[in-house]
Order: sequence, then C-alpha cells, then structure tokens
Amino acid sequence: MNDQELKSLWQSQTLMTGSYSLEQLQRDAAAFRRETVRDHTGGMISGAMVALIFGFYAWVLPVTLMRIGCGLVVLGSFFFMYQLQRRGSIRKRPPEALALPFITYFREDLARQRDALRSVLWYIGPTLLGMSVFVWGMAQPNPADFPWQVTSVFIIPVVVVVAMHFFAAHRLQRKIDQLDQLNESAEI
Amino acid sequence: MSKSENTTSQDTLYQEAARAFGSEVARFVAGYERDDAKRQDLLQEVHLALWQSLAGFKGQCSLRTWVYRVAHNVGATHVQRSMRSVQRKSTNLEEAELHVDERAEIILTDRRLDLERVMTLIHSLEVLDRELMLLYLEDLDAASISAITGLSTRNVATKVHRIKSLLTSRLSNRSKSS
Repeated sequence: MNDQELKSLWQSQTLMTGSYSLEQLQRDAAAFRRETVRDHTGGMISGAMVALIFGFYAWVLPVTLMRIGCGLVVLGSFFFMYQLQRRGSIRKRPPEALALPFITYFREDLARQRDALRSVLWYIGPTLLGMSVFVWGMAQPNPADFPWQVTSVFIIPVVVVVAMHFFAAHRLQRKIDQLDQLNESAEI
Repeated sequence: MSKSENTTSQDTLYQEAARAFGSEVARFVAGYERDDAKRQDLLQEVHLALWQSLAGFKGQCSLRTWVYRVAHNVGATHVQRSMRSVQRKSTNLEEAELHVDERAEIILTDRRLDLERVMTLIHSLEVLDRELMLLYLEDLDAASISAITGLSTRNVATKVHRIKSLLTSRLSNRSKSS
C-alpha cells in the first residue's frame, strides 16, 4: 500500500462526527463551571473545618504550648485556603489557550502541573509547624518520657506525600527539558 | 464589539468549523481514544473546548489550524489523564521502530484490518508523535503541521519521514505474513 492509498484509507473512515447544538454546549459549559466550583468549595470547606476544630481546641486546652500549636494550625488552614483561592485563579487559563501550538500548550501545561506539585510545602508547611508545637506542648512537662514514636504516625505520611510530589515534579521537569531540547535541536 | 455580537460571531464560527472540519475532528478523536463510549465523551469535550475557544478567535491563524490545534490539545490532555489513571505506556518513534519485528504478527486480510493496524500503532505512540502521524494521514504539508504543532518545518520533515518508514515497515510486514 502506498502513501496515498494509506491516507485515503484513513480519511475514508466512517465515524460519527457528533452533532452538538449551541444550547447543549452552553449547558455543558455551565455544568463544567459548576463542577469546578464544587471541587474548589470542597477544599475550602475542609480548610474551614480544620480551622474550626483547632480553633475550639485553642480555646479549651489548658497547656499554653498546645494552644499556640492549635493557633498555628488555624493560621495554617487560613493560609491553605488563601493558597487554594490564589492558585485556583492562576490555574484558570483563557479558553483560547487551547488553540496554542501543541508544543507551547503542552509545555505550559506541564509547567503548571510541576509548579502545583512543588507548592506542596506551602500547603503542608504551616500546618506541620503548628502540629509540631502542639505535640511539643503535649510532651510537657517531661519531654523525655513522651512516646515520640507515636509522632511517626504523622511524620511518615507527610514525608511520603512530599517525596511523591517532588518525584512527580522532577519527572515533569524532565519532560519539559525534552520539549525544550526538541525545539533547540530544530533551531541549530 | 459588544458581548452579544461577540457571542454571535463565536456561535457562527463554531457552526462553520463543525461543518467544515467535523469529520477530521472525529478522526483525530479516534486517534486519541479507542473505546466507543469514551470516544463520544471526548468528542463532546473537543466540541465544547472548540466553541469556548472561538470566543478568542481573531484570525490569528486559519480556522482549520485553530480547530486542529484545539482538537489535538484536548486529545493530548485526555491521553495524559488516562495515562495517569491506568499507567498505560506510550512509546516514542524510536521504540516503535524497534518493536516492528518483535510484535506478534496477526494475519490480516483486508484494508479494514490495515486501518486497525495503523490505529494500533497510533495508539502506542507518545502524544507528539501521535499528533504528527494523525496530521500526516490527513495529508497536511510540513508547513501546516509546523503551524499546528509548533515544531520547526525541518523537525516536522524528519519526523514525517520516520513515520512513513514506520508505516511502510508495519504494513509490509503484514503483507509478508499474509
């Protein structure tokens, strides 16, 4: 089979082209917007619940260090919500961005995913600091007697999550480098 | 331009694009998703993205280039998403060339199965190589492919040459085995 035969074979496929009315497309767009808002709201509600629970603890707990720790967790959750709001608005790309040449579009998309993964410390960091102070408060007045091994229940998952995020970000960076090399090699 | 005029122009452009390039878009979508039900969803997603994107169309490129870019970018995003969920492995052109003789040869007897074979090859490729092959099969020249992908024409020409060799070896292997 020669080139032209192959191309005409490909082009002769009978596939459903789909017929979408403008009303249906408008409905789909509205549904998509609702879904995005729902996802965003889920994150905000989680942040608010953490703030509420630890705010309550900060109010009722007797040990000052534990209260400070709870206060820091509350601040961390506010920071988390702020980041969610800020990054959410950055993530929104204009619809015409979809019509960028593939290399540009793909590179931007990969860079966006990489940055989101790398920002994990900004999300986890402040809450982690609050939790550390909280645990230090729990360990008083005799830190030497405190069963520190219990803290591994928090520490191990956090380390694993952060490492996974950074590993994934590193893989994305490798893909970005490959795309850049592709364009550089074309320019030589 | 007022918002209602802009919307009218967007709607008109979409209808024109869907009429003129609907078949090509459907073939591209087939190149990105094999499962019938998922393909219908992806097709709908492409049409929605196309309609939304046309709000920003100001003649930056031809309507055809615009439509092809949107279709491929949505298709590529779909492939990336599917790969994340099932860890499917794509191969680049180099690996696909290596595997030509290694894969089990099935005796195929008609052109429909040739198409199936080409489709299998397309679905095994990485997104950029996949896009190039789909555009090549649509008989686009190197300059048009370059405008859609963002690759230089020289890079496109090299890759298209390799795609041709790959297709020839796949289909000639088929002829020998049948």
